[in-house]
Amino acid sequence: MPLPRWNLQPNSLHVEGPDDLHAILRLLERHGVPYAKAPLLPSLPRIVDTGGKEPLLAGMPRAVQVSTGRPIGFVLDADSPLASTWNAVRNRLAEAGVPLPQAPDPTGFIGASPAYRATVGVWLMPDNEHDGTLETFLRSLIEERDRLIGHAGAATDRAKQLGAGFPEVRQSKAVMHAWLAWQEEPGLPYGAAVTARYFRHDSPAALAFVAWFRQLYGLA
Amino acid sequence: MLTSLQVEGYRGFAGRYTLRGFSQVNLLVGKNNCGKTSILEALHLLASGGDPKIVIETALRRGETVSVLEIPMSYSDYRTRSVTCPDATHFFHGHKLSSNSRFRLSAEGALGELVASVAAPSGRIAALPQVVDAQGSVHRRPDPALTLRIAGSLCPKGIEAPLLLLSAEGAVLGQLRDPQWEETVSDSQKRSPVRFLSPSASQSRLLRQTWDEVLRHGREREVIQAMQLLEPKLAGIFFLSEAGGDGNGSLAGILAALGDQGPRLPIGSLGEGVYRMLALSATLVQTAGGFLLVDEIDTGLHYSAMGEMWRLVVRTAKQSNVQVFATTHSLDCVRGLAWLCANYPDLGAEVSLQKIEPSIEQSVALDAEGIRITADQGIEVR
Repeated sequence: MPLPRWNLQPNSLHVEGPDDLHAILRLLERHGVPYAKAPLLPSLPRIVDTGGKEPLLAGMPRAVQVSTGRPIGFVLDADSPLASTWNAVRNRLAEAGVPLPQAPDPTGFIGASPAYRATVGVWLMPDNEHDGTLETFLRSLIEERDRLIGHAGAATDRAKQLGAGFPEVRQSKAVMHAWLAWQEEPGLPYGAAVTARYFRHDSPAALAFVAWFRQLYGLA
Repeated sequence: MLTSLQVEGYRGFAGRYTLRGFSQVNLLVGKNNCGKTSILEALHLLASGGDPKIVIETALRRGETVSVLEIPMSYSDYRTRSVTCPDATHFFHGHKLSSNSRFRLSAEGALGELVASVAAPSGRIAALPQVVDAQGSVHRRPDPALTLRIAGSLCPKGIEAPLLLLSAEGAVLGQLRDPQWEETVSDSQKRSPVRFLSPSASQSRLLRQTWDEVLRHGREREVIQAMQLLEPKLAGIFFLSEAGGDGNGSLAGILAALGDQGPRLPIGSLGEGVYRMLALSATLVQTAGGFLLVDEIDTGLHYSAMGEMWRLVVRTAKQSNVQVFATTHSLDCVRGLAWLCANYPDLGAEVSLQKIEPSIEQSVALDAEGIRITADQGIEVR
């Protein structure tokens, strides 16, 4: 599925990688955020793949400093764990004059940089409360009665015992891709699987995320 | 080298606005009407020691003019006559002028400070000279209602800074210059050279004038070397004598030699980029030890040439010790600078990118790392 033609959109949402970009974009579309509609709403942000958590953090202060008069958002995995990710974000945003609370708000952070007159949003995956990643967020979008996800977990454990090479920290990603391998169209990437409705769209974390997104970018 | 600039009450900047973290080469970006060109003009005025000629030149380049009625002096011809004069109003914030208007420009590292202040004429001002037109009618300009003095910190005590004589509407009617000021402040032999390249200026005339200076100082080798970054086979540039004065901005008669043999090619046939680069490198070499101000530096250049353009500009600026301030709207131009920072770290260390946004108090300055990161992540800096 092609990306929207968003090169000229001044607002931006910065994410860690391509999985985040596509999953978030397609989830927003399922919530009626009009990324598929031409012309694009001027307030809709470009979703920027920054190439990883470290580059995202490194670019954060400058990205805020050059965003005078516009909103800018950041989505990071809370996998290192949540408290230290939040601490890293606080330090980076302090450089751009954005005061952050000690701990993230479950509804996502939205604040301002008075010095640079930018509106700044931060969301920690999955829900600003628990350690986790995009996969934890997506896991909450799998039907409770789904019988395959338990099997995907067990099969992945077994694969690890048999010598599968993925590291411990990527366990949830391995489970998710095992589960995706058994859907009607096997092996779709996250974004396409969201569009194909293999995932739900309305877990509490997803609803809170979309509400945060709409508030940050001023979408009704 | 200038390290910072502060402007106050000047053009689009109501309060104090500060730019910091200047480097050898500085690219100014920001939205339309954010004041990028105004900043270049402020530097031009500062580097000239507050020369009223720069005020007039700037107003005329921007098309900021106002009509003034000249008063007939002979009984036989009683018609008033309308003439176009530069308008000083727009230099002041809010496009308004009164008897207490003022703006201030100050720089750290060099150039000092200028304060421009408007006042009602005090004491006696010598009558403005009469004007005789082609038909022999004699007119005079109306008496000035206001004066504008641009006092600079470089102006020694006891020497009067020049005075611009203004109509109530801000039209520049004339100027009074102290000959001693001319000798001490305005004398270009004693000041660091400063040049302003505007995209609307005649490329051809500019090139011819600059080339003459380059030849006079024996610097053509340096220009050719700089140009070889773009066109390695370039061996020489020649201006034919009979093609010079047509004044229509044509590039006829400017030839480039590629290699030692064969006919020389019209420079226009090598593409607009080549003569833009020739103008840039010749001006850089000729501004050694001074300041080069380039409005819309990307004009006429293909996106793929932006990286090499920056390489030429930064390298030549470093060699000739010229501090460069340039503006752009072009993302390709910003990306070209990021390319330079990634591929030539030694040259990248000599650049800064300044985002101008008058609604906050200072520019956002990015160094090489900041330029590279924002470009890699597609962060909109303009």
